[in-house]
Amino acid sequence: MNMPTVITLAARSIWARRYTALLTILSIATAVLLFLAVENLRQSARASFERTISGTDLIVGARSSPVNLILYSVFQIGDPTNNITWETYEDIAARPDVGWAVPISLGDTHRGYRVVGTTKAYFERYKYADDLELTFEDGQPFEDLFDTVLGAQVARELGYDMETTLTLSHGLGATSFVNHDKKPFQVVGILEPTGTPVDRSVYVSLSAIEAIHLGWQDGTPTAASRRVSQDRLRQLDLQPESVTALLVGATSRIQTLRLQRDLNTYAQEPLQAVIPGVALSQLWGTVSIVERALAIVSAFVVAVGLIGVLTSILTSLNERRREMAILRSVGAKGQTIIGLLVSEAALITLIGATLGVVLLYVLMWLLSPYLEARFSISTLQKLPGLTDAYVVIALTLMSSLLAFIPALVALKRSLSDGLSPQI
Amino acid sequence: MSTDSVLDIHDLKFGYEAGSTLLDIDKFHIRRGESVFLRGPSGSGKSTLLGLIGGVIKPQAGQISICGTEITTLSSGHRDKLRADHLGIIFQQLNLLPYLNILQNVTLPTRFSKARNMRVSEEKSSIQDAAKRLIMDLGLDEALLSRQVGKLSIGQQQRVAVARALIGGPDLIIADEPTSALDSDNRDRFIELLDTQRKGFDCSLLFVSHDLSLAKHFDRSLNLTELNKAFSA
Repeated sequence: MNMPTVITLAARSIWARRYTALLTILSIATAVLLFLAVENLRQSARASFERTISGTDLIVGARSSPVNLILYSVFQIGDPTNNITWETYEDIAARPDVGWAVPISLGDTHRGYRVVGTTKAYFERYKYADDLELTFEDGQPFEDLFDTVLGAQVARELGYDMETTLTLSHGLGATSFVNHDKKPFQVVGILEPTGTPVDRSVYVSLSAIEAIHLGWQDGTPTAASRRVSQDRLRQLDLQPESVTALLVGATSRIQTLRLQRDLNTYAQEPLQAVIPGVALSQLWGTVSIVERALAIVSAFVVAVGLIGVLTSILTSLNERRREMAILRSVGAKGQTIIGLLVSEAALITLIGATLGVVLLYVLMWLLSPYLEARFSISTLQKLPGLTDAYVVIALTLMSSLLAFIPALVALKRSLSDGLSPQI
Repeated sequence: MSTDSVLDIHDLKFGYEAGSTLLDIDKFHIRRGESVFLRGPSGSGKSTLLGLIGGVIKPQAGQISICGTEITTLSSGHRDKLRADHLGIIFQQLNLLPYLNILQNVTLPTRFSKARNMRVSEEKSSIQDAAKRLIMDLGLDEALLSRQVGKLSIGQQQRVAVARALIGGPDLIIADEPTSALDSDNRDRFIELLDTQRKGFDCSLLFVSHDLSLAKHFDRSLNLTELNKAFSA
């Protein structure tokens, strides 16, 4: 009795019990689907994360923690602790070892999307992934005081185009009771999707941030501030007194560490300079607890699936005593019985796991536009890869191994049944 | 293989637990071409005897030889091979694997036994043709071959089981109450068919039944309750 015959027998036997087998196959498929989906999301979340910012050697902000600084300056999560003065910015920008410095100013929102006040240089200097530059889907950087540039997701979700005018709200909450409604902005540019927090940002010039807060006291508008017209504001010199953070490029990479040390010990005010890569991996370290928990849960789901295969074969043994006795009577060896049940488990798992992979990529194909838009994840793996093949093979092997338990039970029974099957 | 006995049992002792002997047979012998009726009521150790002859279980003492080969000293794998090569087994009912069609059921032994596969080839016929011929010789329609097992009556299924037992010409057919599910007309017809066909293969027959009225069809009749000393004790 050779392998192909045993596998053919196993396949026919499964087919004869196809409805119950289908349930087992589906449970394996679901387990694999979940496991690979979590893996895929994990990998792409990590990749997305690491490609958020590149080309920037240091991020400089008020002293807090590196993770906090990168959270508010790059990920736009949480609140800036403090600002740094304009003089400090000018001082840093003038250093010989600093190639460029782009200030950003945070504190306003538009319908829940954060507003970033910055300079036009931002659009040249901010890079993501492997030194990709920001590109404009439409329009160009802001020129006028009341021009604004939108991230791809902002434009898409809010349905904005180049005709749109919008007003900003004070504060970083999703809803704000203080609106800069007397000072509308004109959309002049929409960025291409990047899969980074840039997609969720609204960009205006630093002067615009100054302009909309002009005359404010203690974070609230005054009667005087409301009266200043937009045209009047355009004629003023609106140099900000402070900014939230700086993106800094060193003249040479080698000097980055020295520059960082210098800035961290800056005498005029307490500063903190972080290397984005270092802060990102620190941040990922804190996020990865969740990620690991997910992975463990999905691994358990796979284990449950495998136990399901085992259970289904064990419970089928009773009704298959006769089948085993018939096979023994026509000359099947003990190892044929074992081979039959092991290849049955292997087949079911192979089919189930493959189905899981297929389902995953069909779902991915259907859902990835939504996922990418909703979560800014642009690095989902959309075609089956080697990992998937490994998972399928590993599961098939594990299930074959587990199947030795029912196989040995069946063998023992077929020996005690002899050639006179019970039932 | 040139010996004239297909089954030879000497001083056979078997018990599932130490101390309790279920089967104790001094001598039991089937010659080539001979048909033997063995009356075996339940509890007489019939199933055990068949398991021992089939080589699925091993005795504590004594010898069993199949076509001159002593099987009690063989490994279980070798006993399995011997069973595949030399024996054709027919059960009471439900002989067939429901997930194979009739042709696949009939040809099953040729997949487990190279010897039987070769014997079919030596007759200058394909396995399919051999199965077809057997099916027709047993009075079944050749069209049945591609049918599913469930579509056949019990009588038809038992005849398919005969075809399977005979394919590739084994040396001994063991039929364990093969007629108990048939009505009396069919019973005699079945036995006649079985007997004619197995003679064509020069194949011996061990027919086990509790129904003494069938004994007249066979060369020799034995009672397991007398043969088995453990039963009378």
